[in-house]
Amino acid sequence: MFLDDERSSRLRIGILNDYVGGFLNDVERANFLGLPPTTRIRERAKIISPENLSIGEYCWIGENTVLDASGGLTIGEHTSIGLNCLVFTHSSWLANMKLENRSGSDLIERKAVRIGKGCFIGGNSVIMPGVTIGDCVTVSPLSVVTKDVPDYCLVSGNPARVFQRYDQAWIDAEADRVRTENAARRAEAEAHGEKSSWGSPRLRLTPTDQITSNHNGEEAK
Amino acid sequence: MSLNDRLRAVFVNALELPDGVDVESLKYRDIQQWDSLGHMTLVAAIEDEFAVQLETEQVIDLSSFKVAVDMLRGLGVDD
Repeated sequence: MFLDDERSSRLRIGILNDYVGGFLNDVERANFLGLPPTTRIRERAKIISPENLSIGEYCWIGENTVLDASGGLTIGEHTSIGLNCLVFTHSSWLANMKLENRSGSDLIERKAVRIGKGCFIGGNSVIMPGVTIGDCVTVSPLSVVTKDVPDYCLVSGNPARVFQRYDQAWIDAEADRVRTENAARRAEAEAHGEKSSWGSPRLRLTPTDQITSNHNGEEAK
Repeated sequence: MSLNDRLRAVFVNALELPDGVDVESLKYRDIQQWDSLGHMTLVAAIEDEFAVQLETEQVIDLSSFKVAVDMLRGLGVDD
């Protein structure tokens, strides 16, 4: 039933890693895969050719994301790559059209991808081979990044285009805004005798919200 | 319908503006609806309505109703 050729043995390591990794939490999984101990990599995320992956500290990789490092992949520190993302560094397009789509074909094209530090890659996005994404870049969910993205900007769409540029002062102001909002939520939670472990405390509906609709979207009595 | 009227309707629909908003004096990030996500929706709606394709610098520079009017005139959109 099992083949014992080089390719089968190599693939089986990945299959077993996926299987074992399914029982681990995100930090344990990162350690198991040899990633920095501050990495959090969620269930069913897959790394192709991990030996060609260079990843900084404090990265987060979402569920079902595929990081293809076969052509070389660099990810900077404090970068998050959302759920269901695809980062490609190789393509078989030419092997397909030349009808040479065999394992080991020399028509596989490989181009390295670099994703900078402090980036947020929204869920279901695709990063194409050869792309360099700068530092502190936000990629909106469902985007397809086909060309290089400069530092400090927001890109969105298919193909992704720049919709906003920002600087460190703008980021600092946004950080202050969110910290202030979170502090207010924590204070509200504590005022109700709750302990907020992380993120938002339990949401409280205003009386207006409560009478607007019920779970069926119908007006509540 | 004039360019201003068409553009006003685009702003209202794309940003889901309530009645009574002074669209002509709106500026990017002045109101909650015109944040970065609203901006993407607005740019797509302008491109659809006027059959134009904005360049990256134009997308970034589109910071008010008046700028949008001038930009569209520069792209050959007439009343």
